[in-house]
Amino acid sequence: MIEINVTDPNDAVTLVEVSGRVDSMNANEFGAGLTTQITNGKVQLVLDLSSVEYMSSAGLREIVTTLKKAKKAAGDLRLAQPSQRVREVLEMAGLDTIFRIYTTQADAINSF
Amino acid sequence: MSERERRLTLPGKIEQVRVACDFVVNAAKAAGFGDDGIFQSQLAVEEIFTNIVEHGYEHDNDNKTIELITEITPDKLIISILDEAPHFNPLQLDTPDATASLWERERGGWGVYFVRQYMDKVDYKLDNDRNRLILEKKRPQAS
Repeated sequence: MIEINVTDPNDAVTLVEVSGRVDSMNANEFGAGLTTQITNGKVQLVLDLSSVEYMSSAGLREIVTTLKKAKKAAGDLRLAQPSQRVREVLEMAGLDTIFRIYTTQADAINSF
Repeated sequence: MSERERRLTLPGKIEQVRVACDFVVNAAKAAGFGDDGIFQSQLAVEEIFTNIVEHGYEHDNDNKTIELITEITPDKLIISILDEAPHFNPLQLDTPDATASLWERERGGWGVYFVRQYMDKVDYKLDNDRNRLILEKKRPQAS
């Protein structure tokens, strides 16, 4: 299953921490959790992926869609500490050059 | 001559995708794969299963099924995925462009590419009017 925890570490940034497995069965839920932030005006987002052990192309599709929405709203979606396995699928799809990816959550938050 | 062959027929619904993954995880474990090989095998099956449900059956499957067959030979794990959707060879799909900009990217298109990356061989054929995709991955001791 998937858990999505949203906090505001400072006035500028919203932190979305996800844990579990992101696959075609729950990717819509994952994407909706991200889109809700943008709808609520929170467009400077950090997505912490340290507790995501599995992500297929269905999950990648949602983060790309969210990044587009964030950028259209003059914001950004930045990634923090993806696992080696998630980083591998990001790299295969060339998304490591599209997203700003940070090795720590603090670095991602402070990058805004 | 295979050491072991297992078969599972599931409803062609997205809710079944984890059952399909679990089935393949068990086969990959039995074939001696470590965490990486297990992950790669189940991701490949998830991508194909999902494509069949979303594009082949268009979420309206009329009780159509997806059959999985795993076979462990001395040197490889063979995973066959059979469906009743209109005949379609997913290996004919264009390879997506990993260098495309954010705004050039369409939703999706990466599933079959990941399958090709993670499997050693992928074949398509028609089998009694069903689509049959055959994924092969070398077993660790054979690579």
